[in-house]
Amino acid sequence: MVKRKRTALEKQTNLPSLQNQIRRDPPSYRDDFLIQYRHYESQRDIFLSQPEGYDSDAFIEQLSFITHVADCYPEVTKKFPQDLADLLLRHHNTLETDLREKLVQCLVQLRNKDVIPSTALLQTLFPVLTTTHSKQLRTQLYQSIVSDIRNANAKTKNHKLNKTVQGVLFNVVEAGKDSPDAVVGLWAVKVTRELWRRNIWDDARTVEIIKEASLSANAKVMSGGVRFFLGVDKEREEMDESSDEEDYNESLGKLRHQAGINKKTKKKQTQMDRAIEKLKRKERNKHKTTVLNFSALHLLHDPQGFADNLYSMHLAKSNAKLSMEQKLLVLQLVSRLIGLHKLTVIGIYSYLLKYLTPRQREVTRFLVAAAQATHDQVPPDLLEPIIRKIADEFVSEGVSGEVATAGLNSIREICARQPLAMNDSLLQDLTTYKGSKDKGVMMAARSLIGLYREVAPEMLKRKDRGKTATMDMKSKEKLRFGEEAPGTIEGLDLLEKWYEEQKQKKIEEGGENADEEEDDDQGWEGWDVESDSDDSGSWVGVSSDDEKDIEISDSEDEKPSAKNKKSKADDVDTSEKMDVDDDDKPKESAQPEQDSFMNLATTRILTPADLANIAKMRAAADLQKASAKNTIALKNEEAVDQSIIEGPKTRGKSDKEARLAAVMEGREGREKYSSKRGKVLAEKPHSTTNKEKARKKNFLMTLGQAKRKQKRSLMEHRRILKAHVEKQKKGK
Amino acid sequence: MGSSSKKKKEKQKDFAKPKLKVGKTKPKADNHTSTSFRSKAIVVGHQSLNTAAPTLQTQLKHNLTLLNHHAYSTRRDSLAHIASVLSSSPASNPPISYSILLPALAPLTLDSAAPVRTQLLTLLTSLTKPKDLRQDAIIPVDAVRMHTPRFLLYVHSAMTHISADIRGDSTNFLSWLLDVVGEDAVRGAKGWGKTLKCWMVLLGWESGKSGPGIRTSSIEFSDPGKNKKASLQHLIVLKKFLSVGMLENETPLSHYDIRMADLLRPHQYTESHLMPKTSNIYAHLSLFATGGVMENVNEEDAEGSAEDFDSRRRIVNNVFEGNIRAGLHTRLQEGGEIGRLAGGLLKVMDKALKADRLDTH
Repeated sequence: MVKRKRTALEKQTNLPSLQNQIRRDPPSYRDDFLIQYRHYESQRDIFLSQPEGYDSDAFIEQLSFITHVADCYPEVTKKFPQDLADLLLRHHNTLETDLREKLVQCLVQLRNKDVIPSTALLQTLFPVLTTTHSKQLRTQLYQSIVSDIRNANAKTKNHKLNKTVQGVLFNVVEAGKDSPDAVVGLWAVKVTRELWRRNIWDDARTVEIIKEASLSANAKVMSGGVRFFLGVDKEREEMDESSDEEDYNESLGKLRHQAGINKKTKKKQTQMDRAIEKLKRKERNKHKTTVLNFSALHLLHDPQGFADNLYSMHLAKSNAKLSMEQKLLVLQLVSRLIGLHKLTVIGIYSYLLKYLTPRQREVTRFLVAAAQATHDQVPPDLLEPIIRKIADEFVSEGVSGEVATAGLNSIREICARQPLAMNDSLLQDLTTYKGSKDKGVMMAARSLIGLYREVAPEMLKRKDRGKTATMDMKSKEKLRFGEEAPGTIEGLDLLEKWYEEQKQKKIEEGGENADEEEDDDQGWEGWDVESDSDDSGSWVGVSSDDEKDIEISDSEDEKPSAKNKKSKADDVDTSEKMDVDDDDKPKESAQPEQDSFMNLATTRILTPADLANIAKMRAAADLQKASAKNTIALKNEEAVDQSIIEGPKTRGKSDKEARLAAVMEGREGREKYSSKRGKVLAEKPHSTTNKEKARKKNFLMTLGQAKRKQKRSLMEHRRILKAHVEKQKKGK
Repeated sequence: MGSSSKKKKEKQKDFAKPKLKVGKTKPKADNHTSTSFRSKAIVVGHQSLNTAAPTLQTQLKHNLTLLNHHAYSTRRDSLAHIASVLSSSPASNPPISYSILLPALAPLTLDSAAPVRTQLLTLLTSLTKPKDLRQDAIIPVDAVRMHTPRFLLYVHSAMTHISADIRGDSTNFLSWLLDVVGEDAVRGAKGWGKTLKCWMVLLGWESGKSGPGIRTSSIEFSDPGKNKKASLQHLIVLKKFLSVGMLENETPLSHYDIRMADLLRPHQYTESHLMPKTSNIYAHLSLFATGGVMENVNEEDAEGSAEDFDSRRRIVNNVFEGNIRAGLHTRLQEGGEIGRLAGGLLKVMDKALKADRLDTH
């Protein structure tokens, strides 16, 4: 009470001191606050009577005061946030920049004090963001929106807020979808992208927003959406990398300390950099397993519909509004979707055909798209014209080496995904380029040969087949369309062997019946997954009947035994190890080895311990090297790198002058190599050092001494040498 | 020998061609002479001196811009200049439009310097008061009436200003407005409800709502109503305000008027069906508001429509009466000049509200 009386005597003369006192004792200063609140109201009315040309300094001060103490008098300031929002929404284009900035700040502050909910803030800021003409305001709003959502999701994901915001964004995008002039969606895309990048939003709803944006009529919004799909996952990874920098400060500290003590040289510096980089990578790998991220492309609902829509909307009809770059982006996305989800968009192949000429701008990207759009479910009839065209246009006598390289490489990429697209005669034509003088062409042709040695050696010329491929040819079956190769787990045979050995050992030791289930349980130790001991009898194999029917219908000329084997192999899928093939059909005895090790995969669930075991044994058997050769394994899920198509870059022939110029260009801006001491000396004014003097000394003057040196007695020589050693020890 | 090769090199250097680079400034030549100079003062040789003095209008305009000058003496002087020019010019043909002058004067109600505010008040009172009864005032009442809402806004702002001096002077301006335009100053939500709210905080009478009884009305923080002299002035103006707002002028009608009224009024409520005499009577609906905040007007609320005496009385009755009476009673207990004034005010309240109650019955 005493304190209150004392404070009562003070006169309020400025807002900051009043603010300070209110914060300490809100009830006592209620009257002062009321006066200020009325003052704010009257100032607001004055402002509203003439929004333009209003001297806003006092008003700004008043605003910040009320914002700071608003939480002390909630019942008085009930309407205050709404007032601010109205001011901003109605007058954001005419407001003075300072005042506008203050309004946004106040709203954010009110949000931080929990006076208004996040949704209210975003509902105010987002409409302004999309309509304002001021770049400055836009950046401010954008930042506050993103940071607000980030803060809301900082501890745990605020699903409710995310849902509402995503709903708002979705509506924004959808509303402007059909009009080519609505750029509102661009901001929705931008916000979404930022939040995705920061790993705050990572669900299918987010992807849905962007999907809607990619199908918008406005070119900017569309390309924003498409770019999201093409690049955002990479961005997210980069973000992750940069974000966990703090973790290894400790070990870095040690390195830094050493660097501080030891002599500083450039070499040491680079060593240190490399060490840091290594440490980072190590740390990154440590974290990698814990983060479970789905790529945006995987989260799509109905990829087939999306790809169809994208193609028909932006590519199929000649959409004059789209630039070449934008069309290429769409093409890239569509082809990526086709490859990833094994979709069928028939139109795209004929569309691509139009652009596959060496003179086409950015033709490598079209080639990449053609390769990406290929997977093993694409009918070869669709791909054949493309390959034919590439072969005709790119790979012929008249064209330069680079073009031929690109052509051959893209043919290889397509054929790696769908080998049936090639026919014998064309392949044999193309393989003749293996003798080309151009290194790129030669390598490309060789890689094509290498591919077909694995896939279908009978299509190659006899001399190209090589020894191992010829030997394998007998056991290899002909490629057929729609055929799924039976999956295997590499190293499974080793595991089987190991089990046999273990059994043997146990029998030798105690003769007890080794209980496999007990082993299983041990293998699952430390893993949360419920260990369900397998019982092959209770599982029913699910086989797709349609495929069987088709195969029966169109493969009458082939051996029935092969077909049977085929269909059974279809049933066994590696990814679903629990699938067990039906036991009632007896296995063919033709290839017991191949089936026997798959037996293990089909009769038991591999525990993590088992998998670790496999990895160990494979390392021991040095099988990894052998498997490294098997690089041509289908990777239709991944994007094709442009550099693969372009082949190795070779520098063209150049004369000495040009080369020298290139060297000199590289040296520009580089500091000269020289000793540190020399550099220091060059900068400060100094008299000639003894060394310089000695270096510049007239040759004739040194002659006499040189002559005398030869005539020195041994003793004299000894004394001089000793003195020299002594001098060295003392240090200069 | 060593030095001679050095000299040779130096000689060679003279003939080396300077290397030009894109994006870099051209190196200066050796014989380049800088023509830049520094000087403490620059004397301009010829200056144009306008012989004709600026006209009255331009002078006035210049003085209007000086009203925003940072030095308070300049502001005060320019106010004095404006006053002198206007008072010497004929009322029928003013040298400057009042629709420019009055809006420019209004913000000075909030001026931080006391001399400027006093000067403004003298300017306003002198220019709006007729010198003698036969002459009109220099600034006609209609001009002031047109800008009343604007003045009111600034008066509200001044009544709630953080500086006690400005608050103290604020009621003088309100008093001036009441003198000049009379009922127009209290008409509408802005004029009545808003002003009353400002009165409540100005006098520190709002506490009725504060609830938990943390403050008793005897302790007055910072300033509200503390300053004796100021509060005397406040009470005088409040009395004027309330009587203008709630008590009709019951001047006895002349014989002629009654006759005319009988002629013109065939009906008891003709008045309410006639064209309104005042301007903008539907202001509270803000029909023509340019994007302003449309406030929800509630009949029971303080800021409801207050176009006539009845509604004003109702607003006071519904919202403010308790607070005002409580405040006046404490003043009454203080006694002295203030106590007497408070008593007078209570009488005004009683009279006005009794009339209202009689009306309603």
